[in-house]
Amino acid sequence: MTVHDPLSGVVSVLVEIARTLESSDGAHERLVHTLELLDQLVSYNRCAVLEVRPSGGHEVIAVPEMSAEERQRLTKKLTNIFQLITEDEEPAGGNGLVAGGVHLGLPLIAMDSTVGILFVERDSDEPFGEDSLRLLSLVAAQLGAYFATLQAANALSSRSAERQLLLIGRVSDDLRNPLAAISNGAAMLVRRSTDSADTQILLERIAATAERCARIIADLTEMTQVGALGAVSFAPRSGDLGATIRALVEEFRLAHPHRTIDFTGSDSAVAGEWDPDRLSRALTRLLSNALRYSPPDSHVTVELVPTDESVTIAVHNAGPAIPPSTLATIFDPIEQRLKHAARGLGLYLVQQIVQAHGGEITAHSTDVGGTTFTMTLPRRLGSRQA
Amino acid sequence: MVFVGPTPDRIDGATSERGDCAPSILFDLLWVALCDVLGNPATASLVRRSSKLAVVRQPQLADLIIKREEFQYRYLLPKGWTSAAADSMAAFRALLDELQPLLIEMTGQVVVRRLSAIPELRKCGLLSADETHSSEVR
Repeated sequence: MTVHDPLSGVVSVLVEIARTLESSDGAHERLVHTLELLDQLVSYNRCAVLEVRPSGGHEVIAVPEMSAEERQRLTKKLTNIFQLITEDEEPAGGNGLVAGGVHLGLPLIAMDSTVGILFVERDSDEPFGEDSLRLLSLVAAQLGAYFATLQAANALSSRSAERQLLLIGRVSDDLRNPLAAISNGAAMLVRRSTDSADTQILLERIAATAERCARIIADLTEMTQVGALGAVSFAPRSGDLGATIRALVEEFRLAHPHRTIDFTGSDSAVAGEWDPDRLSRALTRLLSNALRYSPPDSHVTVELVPTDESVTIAVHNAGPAIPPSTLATIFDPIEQRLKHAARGLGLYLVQQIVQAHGGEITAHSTDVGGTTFTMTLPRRLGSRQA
Repeated sequence: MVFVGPTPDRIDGATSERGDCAPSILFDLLWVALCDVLGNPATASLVRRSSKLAVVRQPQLADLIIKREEFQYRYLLPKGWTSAAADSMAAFRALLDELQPLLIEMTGQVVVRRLSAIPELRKCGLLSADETHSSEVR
């Protein structure tokens, strides 16, 4: 349908589009409704928005509903146009557009950057005129402002998260010294105390609590380093991961002489680019957990499996199964703190370290098979995810 | 480099006979016509893109700067563009050569037809009616 009362019709549609984009509907619904409203300004058979995100991913919202094939054609057309006006290299297959009807396309500009394409297409031979293009440019401007708002909100949110991490880091540092004084003082009193058994128990509790608080603060400090300053503190270098792991296992054997810690894997060098300090910390946490949550007479196993491109390190214990609801969010620090007040941030930190290496970590746990945490790390930085 | 913005006299097409083919005047006309149909942000985006593509052949275009200041776009043109010197005209022509296919890919003939209707561009041999039909895109 095309508006017949030009000025008032156009204004009311533009106002409706502005309201739609500012509404509390989901992002997809807002865009779909905007494109549907656009039909009242610029009559089309198909209309689409290509949104290209700063991360490089993209999404195409198209109306009306169309077949997968048609949608694919439209997506290709829009990505070709986008590449044509933004990238140094020509789109794959040349810059010629895929066959279709007459069309108009405009770049969507947010914060002075091209973030997408607005596109309308007709099946008929009736060409679009200048008025259609002008109206389309008004809607493109609205969409550009909408995407700019989203980008600004995302940036604000990201900065806010960063500030929170920095604040946690500062508070952790501030707490560390007085807590160390409490801890040391309590430990000294425990050693010197000649008071009653009750006093002795109380002092031991104070010392244990202070130690637990110190561990939480250490976790928080490390979390802020990994989360807020990860790029700085992650220092990969060429090295033999096998040697690092074997040395760590040996340390654990010495520290836990009554436990059996098996190591399976090649004795030859496992070359790659890693941050050995960070990976040692990650493995230390996994091994500590494995020892803590398994029966004293059971074995803990560390398995190292190198391939040409990557390395898999699995830490297994025969303890009781982790409940599925816990397992599902075991790397989520917020969920873990909400569900288990006493649980630290250790697994979150392990995951952050693994991800900083471009790898991934999974957890598998059953009553019969026990619990296994498996880290997979690419050997080379170049093969790692951005 | 000189500062240039689309001034009202240029928008009205009140150009002197002598300066008709000065790229600074032609660029003003081009800019105003594009903004009229595409809007300022899209115009800035496409002209920047064309300039980036053409600068390899015409280094002078490195001095064409399009800046956004709050909600307005302003541009700085290469120093020599106030006269119709051969090298300035070549640079402007290279810009148009890159711009035209982009416009056709995106909008078919709508914008190119509009540009070809600008007398100054036609008079200076930069766009002709024949040229606009040479690469029809549906």
